[in-house]
Amino acid sequence: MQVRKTFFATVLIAISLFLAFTSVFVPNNEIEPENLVRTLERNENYYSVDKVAEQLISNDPLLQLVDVRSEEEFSKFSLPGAVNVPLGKLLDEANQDYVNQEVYNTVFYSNGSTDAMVALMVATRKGYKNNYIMRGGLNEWVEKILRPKYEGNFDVVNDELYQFRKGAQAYFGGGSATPAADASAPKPKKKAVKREKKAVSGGCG
Amino acid sequence: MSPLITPGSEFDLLWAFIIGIGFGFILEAAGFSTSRKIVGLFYGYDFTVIKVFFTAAVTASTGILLFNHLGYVDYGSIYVPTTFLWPTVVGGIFMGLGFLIGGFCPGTSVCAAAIGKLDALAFVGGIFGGIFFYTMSFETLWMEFRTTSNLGVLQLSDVFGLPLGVMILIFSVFSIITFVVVSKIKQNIKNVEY
Repeated sequence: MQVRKTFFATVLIAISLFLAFTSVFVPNNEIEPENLVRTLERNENYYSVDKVAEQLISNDPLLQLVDVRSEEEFSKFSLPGAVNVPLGKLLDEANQDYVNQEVYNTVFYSNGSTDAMVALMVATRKGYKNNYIMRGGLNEWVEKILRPKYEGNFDVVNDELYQFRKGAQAYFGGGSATPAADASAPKPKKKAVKREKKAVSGGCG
Repeated sequence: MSPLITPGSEFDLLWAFIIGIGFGFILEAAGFSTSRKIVGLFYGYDFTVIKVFFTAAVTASTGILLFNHLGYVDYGSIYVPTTFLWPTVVGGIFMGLGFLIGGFCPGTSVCAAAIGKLDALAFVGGIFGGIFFYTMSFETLWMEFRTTSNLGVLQLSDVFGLPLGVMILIFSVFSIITFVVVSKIKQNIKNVEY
């Protein structure tokens, strides 16, 4: 009995030593493409626009919004408190505090989802943690928060959601107030070019 | 090679049944259908529970990492549940009290009920009572609370900032020491009749 116990203990320690050795000296930081896809697919990597709105309204100290659009687009319209890290500068030393940290929940957003998704993919591939994306981006923000419509059937859940969005709309100045200049808002109509009247010619004058 | 079992197929329930029978068989073989054996750990006269759980933990952790190394298992695709600290503490207290008062855990109670133990049947009734209570008080007591103090996907290696393999080595050494210590204690205790 004693011999058997010693044998199993020795085997266990041998395997553990091997695992410890390999994890220290042969670190494998490569993320397999399949895992990358699976990680990106996970629902928990997404923030809905409602969640972002809720955390903005409640001043959640952990929320860090990162706008991955160009500086020009950012200056026209951005979400409150967001910082601008254009996609091309994501890995710059100056931006590491936003994307490679373990304190805040960094939420990337762009107009749609694509650029934010690319940012999340790069960050995940680099092994950075606590990064998320806002599903649907600013387009969905405008559609759901700044101009909420009643969705689905009339029931308690939809009603609560709608009431929340109406509140958020007032908070973020959507609806009757003019959204600063968001991506998909209708652009001011161009002034019609007036044609100069031509002098009447011919006829009886 | 992996996965051996693809979830979402029509065989899910069959696999669950086979694994469940195996699990029940092992519990019964380890003597876990006796409530005295389980509460023995609390009163300090029987350490089977601690031995079985530590064995399960070291076998699973070394096995998974070793298989990952050999390419049979993809470690990254194993689902690790999110840690909600305080809800887990509260749940743990409820679970521990249930263990202590009833002498079973949910799995072993079903196992013991299957061999016709009346106390186990009462315990299973209690489980359903608990489920009923949780459901009825869900909105008032638990809905907000259950997602508070979210620490994300957290593993011991993250907490201590060590490579996974080193953490497993430490854990293995720790379990062997535990085994030795509880065996020494057991030697000094007179046998208890079950």
